[in-house]
Amino acid sequence: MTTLTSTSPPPAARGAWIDARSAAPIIAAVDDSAASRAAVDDAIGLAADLDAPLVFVHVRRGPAAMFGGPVYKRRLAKELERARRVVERAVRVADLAEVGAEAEILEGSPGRRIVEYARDRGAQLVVVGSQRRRLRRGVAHEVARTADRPVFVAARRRSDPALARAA
Amino acid sequence: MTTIVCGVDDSPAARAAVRIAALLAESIGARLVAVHVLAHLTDADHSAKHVAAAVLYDEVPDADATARGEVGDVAERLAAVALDEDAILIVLGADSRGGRSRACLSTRHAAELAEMTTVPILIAPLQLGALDARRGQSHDLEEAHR
Repeated sequence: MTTLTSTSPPPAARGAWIDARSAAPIIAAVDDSAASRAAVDDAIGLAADLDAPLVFVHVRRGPAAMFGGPVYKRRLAKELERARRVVERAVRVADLAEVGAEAEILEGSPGRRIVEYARDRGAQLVVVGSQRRRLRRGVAHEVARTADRPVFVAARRRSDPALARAA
Repeated sequence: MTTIVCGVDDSPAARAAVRIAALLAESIGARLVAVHVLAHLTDADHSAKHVAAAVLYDEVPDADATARGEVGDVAERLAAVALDEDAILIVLGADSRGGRSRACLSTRHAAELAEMTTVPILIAPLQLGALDARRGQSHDLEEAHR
């Protein structure tokens, strides 16, 4: 069972550039944005069609070191809780689609860490969502620019409010 | 008939991307539309179409592909073509040498494009196109040996 949407390419299209590499995982970058939800759906569909292991990765930047001990700890705990919520939700969606998935929480610069992690795991594909950034380039842009493997930018759903605003 | 749209220019990354796009299109029986977008109005659509056709001829001469030329904002025109062609996927090239890659333009367009379209985008690294080319060469060698 897959969770494909009408905007997703058909299974054959999604798997055609990869052959005999099904043991290599698909890495999907997730956060709590609407764009990330699209990435989760597409990554699950891709993993099912390619019969590839799926790994959801959330990268947290970490609280600023300028905060004192108690504040730092509180913020760190909050960040970790949010990160756990994000990856647990993604894994739950994968479970509902009967696709096995694991999750990792990393720390650092999201764009850089996702690319490093994909390289370390020998990923066959990196799936990212695309989110509008007013003042800086998004993670999808950085991953696409620096990754040494294919990057799949998930289709934005028509219900995405950001897309509606852009239209 | 399903359609895959590929943004092309004369860069190695874009040439790699069109090879990947042709492979994808062939595997699912889709039509490939290669689009070159001129950012400024020069010789209008004819030149842009000529660039796309030349890239197709060089890289995938046997593919069932159509060349299209557009003039205007690259991301906006690619999104418009994908909508017009009812594409299921947009393929773009990305050179990944780390740091300030020469293909920064391509990936910038990909980021802009992602904000304008509901069609998924595949960004194919240069290495993947090279791999595909090597596969093609080894296939040709096997054919020659036979």
